[in-house]
Amino acid sequence: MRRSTWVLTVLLLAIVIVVMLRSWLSRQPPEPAVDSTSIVESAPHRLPSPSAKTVALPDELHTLEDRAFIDALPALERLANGGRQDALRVLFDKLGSCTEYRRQSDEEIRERAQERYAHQIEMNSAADVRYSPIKSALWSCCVTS
Amino acid sequence: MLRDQLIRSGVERRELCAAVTPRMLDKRLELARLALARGDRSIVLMLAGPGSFRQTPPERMRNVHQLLALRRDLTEAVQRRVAGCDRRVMHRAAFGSYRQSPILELDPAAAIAYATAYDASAPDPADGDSTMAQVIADAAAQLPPAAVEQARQRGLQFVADHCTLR
Repeated sequence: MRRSTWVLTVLLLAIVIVVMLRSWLSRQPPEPAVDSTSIVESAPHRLPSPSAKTVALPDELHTLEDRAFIDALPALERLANGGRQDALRVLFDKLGSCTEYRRQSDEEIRERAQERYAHQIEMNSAADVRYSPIKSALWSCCVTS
Repeated sequence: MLRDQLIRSGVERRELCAAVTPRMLDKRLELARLALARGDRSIVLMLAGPGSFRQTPPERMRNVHQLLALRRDLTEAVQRRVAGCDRRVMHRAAFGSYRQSPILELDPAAAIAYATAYDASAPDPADGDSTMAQVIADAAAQLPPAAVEQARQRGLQFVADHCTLR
């Protein structure tokens, strides 16, 4: 083969390689930008990040609880920065609660559950007495006197 | 069982909250300052009261500048509210300045001034609050008598300047 043919072949191969490389690179997903202001860490081992889709917020923002609150964080932050005072207060309150929850040991969780359970039992007993005429009569005649 | 459900819900909440970044939790400081700048009274009451902003020492270290700025903003917001004769803020700030607020500066003289103003601005003299008397007594124990008297006079002056008396 002549020398010029070799050169042409090598050149052609180089062009093909460059074209293939470029088309392959253009198919790669873009590197996710590191957002220093991201609200929720992506912790796939634990929980998914808040869903990317638009979250429908309730009228009463303070009713957002647990998962719904976490999903609504970006939207709440936008509203708060935009001047919605209720969004700001909900964020402030509930992030405060989250700070507390994060620190709780298993033992503390059990203790709090026990306290809430005892409180619930107490409330139910009081409600029983209030709403049952017989119990109420007994209560007023015999317990409180 | 209800008790087991409560425990499960506590564990779930902890896991959910673990997904919130420390940056977002620190952002509470910015949110608090924003709320104060917008004149949110409930935030003033919350911050001047006890237990609203518990932070661990590392968190405090990380946010030292923000915390100092928040303290300054809160102090100004309290003063603005007191200047409007807001008795509830006076009451909260009296406790907060004495020992309870994690944000307000501990200032026994300010506690005496706010407590005195609260009592002196009561619509009915019979509405005196024994807890305020206690704050004054406890805070006074930390100051020389002249400073106590000066703080009392400051409280009375607040009322004379800013409250419409009965």
